[in-house]
Amino acid sequence: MAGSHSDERAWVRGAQRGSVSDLESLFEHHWPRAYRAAYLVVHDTAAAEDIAQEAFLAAVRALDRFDRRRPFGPWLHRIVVNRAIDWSRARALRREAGEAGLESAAASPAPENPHAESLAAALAELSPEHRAVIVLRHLLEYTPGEIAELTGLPRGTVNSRLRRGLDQLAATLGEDIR
Amino acid sequence: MTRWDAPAPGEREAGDRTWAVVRGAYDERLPAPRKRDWRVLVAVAAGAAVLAAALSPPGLAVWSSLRDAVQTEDHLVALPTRGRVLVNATDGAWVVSRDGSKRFLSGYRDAAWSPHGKFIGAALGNQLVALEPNGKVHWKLARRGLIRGPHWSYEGFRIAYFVGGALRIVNGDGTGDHLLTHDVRPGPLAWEPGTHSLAYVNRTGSIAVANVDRPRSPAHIRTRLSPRQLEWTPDHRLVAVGAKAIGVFSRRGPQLVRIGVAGSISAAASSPDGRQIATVERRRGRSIVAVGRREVFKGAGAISDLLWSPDGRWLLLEWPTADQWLFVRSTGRKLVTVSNIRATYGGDPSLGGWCCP
Repeated sequence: MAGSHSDERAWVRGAQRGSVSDLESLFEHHWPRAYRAAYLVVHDTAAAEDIAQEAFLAAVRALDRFDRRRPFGPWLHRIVVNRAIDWSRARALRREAGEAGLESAAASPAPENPHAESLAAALAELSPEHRAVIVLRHLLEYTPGEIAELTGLPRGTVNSRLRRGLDQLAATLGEDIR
Repeated sequence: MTRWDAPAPGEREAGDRTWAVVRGAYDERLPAPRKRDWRVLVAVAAGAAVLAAALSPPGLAVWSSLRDAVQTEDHLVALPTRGRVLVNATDGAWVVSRDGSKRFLSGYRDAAWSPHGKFIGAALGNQLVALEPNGKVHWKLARRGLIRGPHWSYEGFRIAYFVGGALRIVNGDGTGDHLLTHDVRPGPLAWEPGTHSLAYVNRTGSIAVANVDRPRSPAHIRTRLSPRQLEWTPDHRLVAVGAKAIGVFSRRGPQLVRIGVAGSISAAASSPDGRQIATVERRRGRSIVAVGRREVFKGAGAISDLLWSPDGRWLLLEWPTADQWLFVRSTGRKLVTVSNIRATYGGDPSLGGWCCP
């Protein structure tokens, strides 16, 4: 990821002091991964946008209280991933209640990258909890220890979800994934 | 595993939409009070008292306008950020460089930057002149009558200017000069970015928008603003500044936003990214400078003009009452005052533009 921790601290400090350009730098730096993380968990562009947007709005609301010594990314990603899991669980419940037909009406746009799309489709086969840890590990590049801290899960649970999720992905995609 | 880094569907469009929402939420938030270091505050207050005593009428205004950091200079030492500033004065134009050095272009009036700052368009008597900032003249065009207000199109291929009561167009290389219209009030002009459409004010006070390369009837935007200034934003909205209000229009005319003020507007300019408008409002003998709804400076008397720095971080204010320029951070958190403006540039200097490096 471009942009060092010191850049990020400076952007947060600037945004806290009213600098729109620093807020924009922070947004531009974190938007792609926040949106991708949400999309890979929920596999729905509108929901991904809502989730990532909500996370940024929460960030703006909490900006003045934010401790600049802490990294901004993990804080944002925790919000994104937790909301994405909640959304996916809620959708699963709605589906059980017979609203699956809505999905076709809100179908995602045509894939821009077939490889990424196949990955997203394979991820969609997993449970939201498994998707989340895989996205945190492989898209956002957190260590299992950091994932445990972010999600509040025991480290062993993170490792087992990663292992099971990757095995299932490999089976779906027909290739080894690490 | 590069596929993890591939953009997700709709990522960019969603980002554009979300940035607009986030930006709106940011503008509306109320920042928490910041803890102040009383030692710094006492030091600034003491410095301000000395300053106020030393400069009587302007000093009073400076006193009322202090922010977190105030820096004063007798003469301009350097611009606070990149770019060069054009100053139009009675005897000629000045090019002020980033390092504070100044080049005098004797006799030129109404000087304006070309879009990338490589050339200056200026009037010299009844001649329109294109010259380099170092004074090297590239071409001249003589017309019957006094030439005023040259204005370069977005890529520098056209220049609009007034001669007598007419609005004329010439190519950036001095060829192809022709009349655009007589139905014009000499004053504000604005080229739409990415096009050769020119906005001006016609004799009835409406805004006209004409494609100068296709001679046909211009589009009209009826308004009661009596615009004294026109500007296009990068996203093709037209900002018209009147004496009592600012109107933001869509490209085809409907007014999108109207910003009214209690006093009168003496200057306004949209930021380089088009997302903010800075205004100077004159009210009860004071000038109030605001960026959007945030007040960044308040001073006694008249502030007659303002410019945005090319990077959008600074505002340059012309403050004739105090014979000063003020460089104010667009956040209002830092202020640099430069005195002796009339002595430096000659009588009645005005800001011509702050352009690219």
